[in-house]
Amino acid sequence: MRDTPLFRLSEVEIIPAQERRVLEARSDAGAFVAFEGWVRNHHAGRSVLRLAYTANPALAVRTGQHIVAELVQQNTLLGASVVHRLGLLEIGEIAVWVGVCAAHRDSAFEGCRALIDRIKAEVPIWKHEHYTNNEKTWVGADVVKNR
Amino acid sequence: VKSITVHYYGALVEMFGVAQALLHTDARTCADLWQVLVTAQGLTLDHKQLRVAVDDQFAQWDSVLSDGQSVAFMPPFAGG
Repeated sequence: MRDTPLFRLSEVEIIPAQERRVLEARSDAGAFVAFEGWVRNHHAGRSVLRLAYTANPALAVRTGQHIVAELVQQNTLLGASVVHRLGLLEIGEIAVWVGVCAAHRDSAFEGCRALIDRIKAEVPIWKHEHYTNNEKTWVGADVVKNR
Repeated sequence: VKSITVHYYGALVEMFGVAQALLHTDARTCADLWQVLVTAQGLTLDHKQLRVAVDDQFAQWDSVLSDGQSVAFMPPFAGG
């Protein structure tokens, strides 16, 4: 388990202390960096009530695993783990957790940043925003709407 | 005529009114199939705005389809 790059989807609450446990096993790591994406109560000037995440699960997991493995190699990370939520999330919940460990801090910071950026850009996950006025929008789907 | 299972994701589910459908089609490529589907709905959404996967692997729009395959049409990703 120590060297296994991980990406998974979760229908239940993300517990950071549990997620980092797999990385804590690395006694050769001198740096750990985590990023948590939180559900925010506003977006583009609108008041957000909650989010609903959906995915293409098989493709999302395979793509996520591939990205984690690639970055672990490129950034000389000793370990990395990513969990992305699916389903309905309330304000303040963790939508995505990214944790990396490395021998030194530079690799850890850079690897964590690169990992969350690529996850957002390349993994087939979609965000449905529910607003306090009962309206709903698919984030980033402007090309699909209005047609 | 091929049997193709089509999967829609994100905003496309609402656009087509279903998450998946089994089709019998002559469409040769992914792009051809998309054109058939949007035309049937009276829509004009260019496939260049989307990503496509065949049998759970990212694919090119000019990928040639075979009988029994599954095709996923995916709008821009919005994870995180």
